[in-house]
Amino acid sequence: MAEGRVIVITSGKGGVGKTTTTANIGAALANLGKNVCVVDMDIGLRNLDILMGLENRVVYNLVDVIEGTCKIKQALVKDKKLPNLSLLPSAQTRDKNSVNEEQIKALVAELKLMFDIVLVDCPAGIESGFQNSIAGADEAIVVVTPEMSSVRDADRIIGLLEARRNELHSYKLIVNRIKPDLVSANQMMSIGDICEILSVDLLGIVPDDEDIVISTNKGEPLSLTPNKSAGQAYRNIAMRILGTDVPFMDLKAKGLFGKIKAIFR
Amino acid sequence: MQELKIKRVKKEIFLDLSGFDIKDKGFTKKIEEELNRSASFFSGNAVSIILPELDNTEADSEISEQIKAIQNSLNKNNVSLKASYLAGDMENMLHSSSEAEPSSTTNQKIENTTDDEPNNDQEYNIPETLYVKSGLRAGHLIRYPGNVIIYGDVNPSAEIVAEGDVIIWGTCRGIVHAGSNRDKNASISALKFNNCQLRISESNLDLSRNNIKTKSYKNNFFHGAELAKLENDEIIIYIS
Repeated sequence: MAEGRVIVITSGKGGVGKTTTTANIGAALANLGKNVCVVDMDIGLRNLDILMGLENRVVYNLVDVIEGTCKIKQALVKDKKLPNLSLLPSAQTRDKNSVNEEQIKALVAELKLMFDIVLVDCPAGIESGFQNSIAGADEAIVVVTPEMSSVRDADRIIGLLEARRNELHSYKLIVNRIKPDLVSANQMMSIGDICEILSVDLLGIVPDDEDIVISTNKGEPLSLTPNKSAGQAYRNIAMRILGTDVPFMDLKAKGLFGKIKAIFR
Repeated sequence: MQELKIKRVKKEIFLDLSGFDIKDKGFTKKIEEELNRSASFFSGNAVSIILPELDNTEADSEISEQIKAIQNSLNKNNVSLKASYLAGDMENMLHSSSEAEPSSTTNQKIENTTDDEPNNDQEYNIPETLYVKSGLRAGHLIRYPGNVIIYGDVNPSAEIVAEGDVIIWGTCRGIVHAGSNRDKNASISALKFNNCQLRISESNLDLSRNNIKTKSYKNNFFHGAELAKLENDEIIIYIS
């Protein structure tokens, strides 16, 4: 079997939607028939299991695997609906210093042999947690929201990723939580503004959607639910990751639709 | 603090390690850090290293081991090791021909502006202008005792401090200080100034609040771009 791809999902700033993006893209890729593993690298602040609705199935975690307490296969948690989607949860009772880059590299190399795609959910910040997460990654996805603070942090992260050009051969951008109404009223940074500053290829645009909160609480990634704009955006991103050329969604039309929907609410 | 110096004699680049303790295992790491930082400058080049003066107590095997470690870290960064000299020998060599000039310390990134430098026995000076072939991202800092040319954008929270002029072939959104050595004749030019902070000599201009004084530029040689200069200790933006 050919080696899988390791994609790290990062942002620099916290709260922009790295974990949500990881869960949704992971589910969408698995739905497309790929063998996917999502790895929660935020050691000490475990979240990804909740978003995937697997919090009660976690037995062993990433640190247990690294310390040799258990085998990788014992720690992997299979998704309820998608048998080809697995989660490697992080530890809640430890901190980021309990692992180092070399150990993560070895772990990721092993996962690469088992899965087509390994998605790594990176913690916020640029310290050891971030450095560990990008160790062993082949590609990176930078999540950014249309705010100046998020763009600046993403810029810093891209600078750090560029320094690792030998290992990371591509890095792409996802603009998350865009509000088309605000953009057209010139009250929010547009996709063009963001891309002009960051000058990185765009992988996807995800509109702001209340359903994300609901799906997060339910533990069902939105990308599995049809007829949701954010879910469609994540499905498109998954197809683009696999090399299909999908056009970007027309957000303006969605904005109008959203307005009509708001009237009837 | 020990300092890694980069010297240049004619076309040859020397890494001066004479300030280091050869027995210290940590110093190969330091070399690697330095190489990483100025990877584009070193990449593909051959360098020679200058080793510190040794006393006879050090075992030969230990030294050759260290040289091998240095060679490994150089190779990792696509740099080949040409030769190694002892500091004493090197000094003699330089004094006899008097053609060397220390050109940079670790804090400065140097890049060549011309490939075909004069191949005579004259002194080689620090290139007056630093040419950076990429834009600057958040958190990047350039300090240089001369002019700086940036081929790309300067993004928010990136910083340039130059003793001479700064030329940005792109949009300037960061913090730029020209004439940091109190040179009131220094200037900053960019294709566009956008929400940035400019400093020239000891004056400061915050462009984010639209308190800019602009003048149209009368010089025919300067079209399309924007230029910031001092006038009566006040920064004025010239636009064409």
